Amino acid sequence: MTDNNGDYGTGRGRLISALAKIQKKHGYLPEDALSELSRKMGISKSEVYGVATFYSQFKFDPPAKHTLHICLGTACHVRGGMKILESVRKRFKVNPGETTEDRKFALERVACLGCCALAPVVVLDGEIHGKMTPESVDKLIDDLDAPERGV
Amino acid sequence: MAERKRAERKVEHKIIFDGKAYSFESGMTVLQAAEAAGIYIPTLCSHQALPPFGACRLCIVEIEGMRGFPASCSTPAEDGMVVRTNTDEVMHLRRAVLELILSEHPTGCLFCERKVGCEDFRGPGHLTKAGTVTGCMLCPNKEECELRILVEKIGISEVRLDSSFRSLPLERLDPFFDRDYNLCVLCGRCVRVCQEIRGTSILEFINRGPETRIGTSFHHLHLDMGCQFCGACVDVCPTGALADRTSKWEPPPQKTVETTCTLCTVGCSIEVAASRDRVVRTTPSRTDGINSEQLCVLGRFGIAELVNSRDRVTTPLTRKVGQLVRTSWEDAITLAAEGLSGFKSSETALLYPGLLTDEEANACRAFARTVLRTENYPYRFPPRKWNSVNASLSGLGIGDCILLVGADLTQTHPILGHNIKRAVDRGAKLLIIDTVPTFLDKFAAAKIRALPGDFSWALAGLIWAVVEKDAVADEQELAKFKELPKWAFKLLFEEIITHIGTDERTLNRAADILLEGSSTLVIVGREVGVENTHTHFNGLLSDFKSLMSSKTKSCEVNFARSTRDFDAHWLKVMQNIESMRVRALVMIGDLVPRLSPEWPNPLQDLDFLVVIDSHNGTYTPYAEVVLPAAAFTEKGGTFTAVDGTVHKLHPAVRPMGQSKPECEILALLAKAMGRNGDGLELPRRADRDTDILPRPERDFALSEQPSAPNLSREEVKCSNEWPLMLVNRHNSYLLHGHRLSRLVGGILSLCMSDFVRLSPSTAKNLDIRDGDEVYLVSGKGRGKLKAKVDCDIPTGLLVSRMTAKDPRLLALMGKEQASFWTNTAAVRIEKSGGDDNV
Ligand code: SF4
Ligand code: SF4
Ligand code: SF4
Ligand code: FES
Ligand code: FES
Repeated sequence: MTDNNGDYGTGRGRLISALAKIQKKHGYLPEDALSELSRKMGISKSEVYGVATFYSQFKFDPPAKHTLHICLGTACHVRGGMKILESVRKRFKVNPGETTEDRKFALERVACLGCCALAPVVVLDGEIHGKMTPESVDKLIDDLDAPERGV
Repeated sequence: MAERKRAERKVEHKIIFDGKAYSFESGMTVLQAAEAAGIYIPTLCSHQALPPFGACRLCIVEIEGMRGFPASCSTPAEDGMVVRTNTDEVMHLRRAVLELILSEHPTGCLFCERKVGCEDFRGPGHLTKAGTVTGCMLCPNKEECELRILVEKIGISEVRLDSSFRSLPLERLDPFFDRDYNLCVLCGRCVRVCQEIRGTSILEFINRGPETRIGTSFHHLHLDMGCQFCGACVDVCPTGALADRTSKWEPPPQKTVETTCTLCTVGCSIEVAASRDRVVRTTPSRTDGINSEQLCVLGRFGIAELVNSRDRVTTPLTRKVGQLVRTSWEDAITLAAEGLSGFKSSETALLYPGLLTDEEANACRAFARTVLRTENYPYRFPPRKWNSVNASLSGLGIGDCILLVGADLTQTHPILGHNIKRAVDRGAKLLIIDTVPTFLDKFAAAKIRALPGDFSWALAGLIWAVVEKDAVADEQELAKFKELPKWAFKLLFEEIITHIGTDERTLNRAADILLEGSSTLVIVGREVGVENTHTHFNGLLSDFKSLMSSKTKSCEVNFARSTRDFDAHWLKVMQNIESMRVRALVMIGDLVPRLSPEWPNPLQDLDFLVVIDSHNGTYTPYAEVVLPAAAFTEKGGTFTAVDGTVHKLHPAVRPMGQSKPECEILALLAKAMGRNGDGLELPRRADRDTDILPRPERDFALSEQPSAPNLSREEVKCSNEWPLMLVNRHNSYLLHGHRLSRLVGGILSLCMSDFVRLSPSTAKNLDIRDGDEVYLVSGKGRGKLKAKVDCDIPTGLLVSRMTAKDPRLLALMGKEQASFWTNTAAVRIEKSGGDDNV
């Protein structure tokens, strides 16, 4: 039995911290968890979703297994960052900000990582790789799969 | 004290608008004061039905002593305020704001260079004419667009900002209304009306910044989110973003007529818009009605489709060589009269529905008594009147408790359900005794679950909890309760708790709430009427009433019954038909339920059937004569609503085809049968009729047995083989026996339900996940449904909402039980099909 007699709308502040907790646990906000939260807090599902979408740090899709950031700052741009982006885009059929359908691979663009000397730069799963070409990035990605194939 | 307050309120305050003084009442906003003074301030996000929001900033003004440009809609007016509404700066800012708003909205229709010339052709009866790419030809808002008014009043002729089109897909997979959020200006009215007024809360602002949209959680369909399709959002939308599908491509209506919705007994005031003798759309009336400018899905979206249906009977039909063929009124009436005259009085019968106008109901009774001279008519039609309460419930607020017993009002009396929600908003406390979760649950302070047939137990439990709460309660007081002595109560309490599956805490809490309140309004609904333990229930109900009257200021008991409640006499008429004592029947509507065409036709043994009806029904093919009746939008009269208030009907259009109002038809028939039909014909005779005719029974004495069908409910017991209890509640809407789901497309999607809801623990035990397909198996049959895990369902219970006609329901419950509103069966769940026959 819940008692939310006319009290709907309370606890928006609590809602945000609850959302943060869910994201921490799952890496994103699964729909089921939000429905459960909506029931517990007596806030409608749409309101919960509305609040969650207001904050850009909340994600609604499971995180990708690997993330590739391609730098398009001035230096990297000049030295061929765009070419790398194009080749990755073609290969995985994703645009920056998107994730492949199998949720294996997410592509992001960044503007200057502060190591222009190494331009063009990409970051794969947090690791910086400098002086890249479309081919070497391809190889990097292929190598990612290698240990998996071994398993 | 109170008087002083009232006096204070009367004190008139002065406010100065643009150098002139005006008076205003306290409590007004600056905007309201300006409106009262006849000064125009443009607005977009504000709406008279909604609390101020202050989002669009179009209503900005200058106020002396206040910094910046406050929004007049959300600034309270104060005595002596000096307001400037039209300085250059204010006007300039408003233009800039409107341009900003319009930069995301197609504007071709607003600034078209041919606009003035085209205006001449846009009068009533002409389609809106404007360019497509810019949106106006796609915009369904016609000349009612509030943006057009704003553009004219604020006076902008172009948008100097880069325009951006959102390119959002049109959302039209839901029934009744389309959503084109490319036309949305994010005023938030729809969000607020859905949340604050209707309490449905399915619309929200999604995302942020330039990506902000109106939408639902995870962009689900409204159908899946529990939208009530009340249309409130459509009605407040200032643009064409939300548009009623039936009237979308109709020209602007030629006229509007105020009348009363008779699709249920609430009696909402509606405004019928008509073009060329066709109902185009119905909206809530803007005058004070019981429904305070709200409607339910039937009244808002159902009426136009219903009365324009292709299933309307438009000409009289008679049987010639086995075939129903069109004929003239004279011919049909003569045939019907001759046919009926050939039977003895006692061999004739008249069946008529509950949702006729009062004059028609009177005419029906008069016809049966003075023309057919038969007793075979439902003269004790279920009482429409509640004891006294005003169905608007407007007097209820803080200190009042409302106890719903088996009353799923959102289904049976939709706007009453809505009014209860509003009473809760005003501070009333709601308690619910019901079998399954209902829409009103989320507004309830306590919910007690009881299986069908167990409402008496629940009430007994509540009585006990209230009595025990009170320290002064003693043997003597309890002795007053004739149903059960104290020891019996005590003994039963444990059993009550286990029986109804509600914990003691809930009962105690409910008792606390009842005792804290100063008055209790009990509303007994349809679900109790089908109990076969009603005698017991009635005793307990009057005990409860006297108990609560002694503990608090007052306690009222009301019955909210639906039109399908049969009373004992109705049953007798039906028995006479079945036993072939009745040979000739006049039936208005499609009143005898027949759930499947494979089942025997209950009227097949009749020698002569005359059907008077607005739509084709189950029995039109079997009739000797079919007489076309007018729909309620086509006739005048009065309509006594569930609370006894009388509402007026005004014809909005002419009767379709050759159809005629029932009163006229009965009068013609009477005349042809050689009896004086005068008294039957017209409303103006209605009051004289009351002298000679029994009025519909209006008052319901507590001691009297509620009208309940003489059907007995099988006792359903769970066992090892059938461990789960399945409860199905029908999701059907009926008018004169017709299923509205057949006549109105969208209603079908509301009634169809594929889901069986179960508690998380049941789901876990059986390893069932949300969305899984499961087979329910009962002793009678099986059916495939989709599982929905729902925390509101108690363990061991399964809840579904299949319609009475659903073959799965018929298979699981058997046909006798399927005719109840709420049915139960002991079942087990199987995860995969075996030999699947459904
Ligand atoms: S139709 Fe009613 S319930 Fe549905 S979204 Fe609109 S306001 Fe909300
Ligand atoms: S859909 Fe209509 S009512 Fe809702 S925010 Fe957009 S313009 Fe306003
Ligand atoms: S609540 Fe009843 S009277 Fe009101 S609109 Fe709905 S069907 Fe019509
Ligand atoms: S531009 Fe790429 S690291 Fe600076
Ligand atoms: S009408 Fe006042 S801010 Fe929108």
